[in-house]
Amino acid sequence: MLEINIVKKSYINKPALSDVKLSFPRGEIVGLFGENGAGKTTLMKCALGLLTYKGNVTLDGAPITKKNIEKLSFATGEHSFFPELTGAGHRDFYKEHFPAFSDKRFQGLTEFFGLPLHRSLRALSTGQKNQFEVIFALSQGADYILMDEPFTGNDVFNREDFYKVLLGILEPHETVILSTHLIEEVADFIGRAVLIRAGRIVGDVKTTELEDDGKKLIDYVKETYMYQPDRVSRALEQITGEDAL
Amino acid sequence: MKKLMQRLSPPGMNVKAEKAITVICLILSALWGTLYFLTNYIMERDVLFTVRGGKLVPKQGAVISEFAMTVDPGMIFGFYVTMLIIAGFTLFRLAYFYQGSKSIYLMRRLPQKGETAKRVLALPALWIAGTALIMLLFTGLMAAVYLLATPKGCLPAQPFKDVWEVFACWKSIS
Repeated sequence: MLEINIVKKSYINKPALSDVKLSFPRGEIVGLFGENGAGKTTLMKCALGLLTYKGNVTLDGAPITKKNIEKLSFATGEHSFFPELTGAGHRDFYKEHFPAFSDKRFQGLTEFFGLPLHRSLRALSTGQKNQFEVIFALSQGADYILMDEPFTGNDVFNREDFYKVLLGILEPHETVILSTHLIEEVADFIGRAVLIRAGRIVGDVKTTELEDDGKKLIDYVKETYMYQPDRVSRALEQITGEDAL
Repeated sequence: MKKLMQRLSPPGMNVKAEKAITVICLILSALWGTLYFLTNYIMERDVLFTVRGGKLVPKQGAVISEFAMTVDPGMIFGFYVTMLIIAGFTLFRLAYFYQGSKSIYLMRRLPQKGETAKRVLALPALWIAGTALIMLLFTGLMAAVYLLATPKGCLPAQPFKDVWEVFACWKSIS
């Protein structure tokens, strides 16, 4: 169980996370949604210990340290690979540093996406870089795989393929926390949706509960965010001075 | 050796450039040091001789300055500059983890302690140690030239008195 207990984080007196309390059992695929600047990335970075924060994050009751950090992996749209190193070089690096690294999964995924193993990652397309980033996170052997906007720059077919592969390869003990703006696209692949706004958790629901209520995920998100459907027409009226639509 | 260098460097980093800069700096330092030594030494040595009957003969009672007085720290100044340049490599190595991606995130997630520090500091530290050793050997070589090329009767009683002054580069700067 990954537990985030009353985590607070500020950037120069500007609160980024306020008393965030969440827990993630094993075996879930969680979508983390929120507008730009809502705190999704900050939350993930705090959980990984990449940022300092107040509060505590524990994994199976123990604080995240060098002893258990390998249980967490991270794929980010900013990329965390070594641009000058090849895919094969990364495989060797991961194998050396993460004893649970799955060579089989790495090989299977790189073959599926037809990724070149002997070219430096710098020379690859953005889509291929993203694929490598996610493959490394999935192959590390972690129980909790945190993904922050990992598919920016990938085409829709590629993304669809990835979601399907993800569902197919995940072991029952693995949890994926996926931060994305592509709500409708991931709606069928996630089991739980967490909504964050201005650093606070404003929604946390299982997709089965939404199904029972006959509600779509996107509608739940809009409702929680108090989305105003007429805001576009109001803005256009204000700008043009004419009645929009 | 190549593998060891890779293990002590940021993954994927081309160490060749650092090696080339280090080797060039060492060659230039040795050339500078040799010229510096020869210029100073020849001037000191010339004073020891006089022309008698068309021949150079040592002056009666003439004694050359001690080794440390003959060369001063200017001789090994280049080696200190080389060490500073190598120390500067650590900044480039650290910056490597922020270039083109945020690989520092991966480094910080590694279960092994001190992996980033090892890959940033270890090789430059070894090269600095190597440069210091070469500097010592170079100074030893110049000391041997001083000892062998100076007529025995012109050597001071303690030719290597305060020899460590040769390395006190900061004194010549101040």
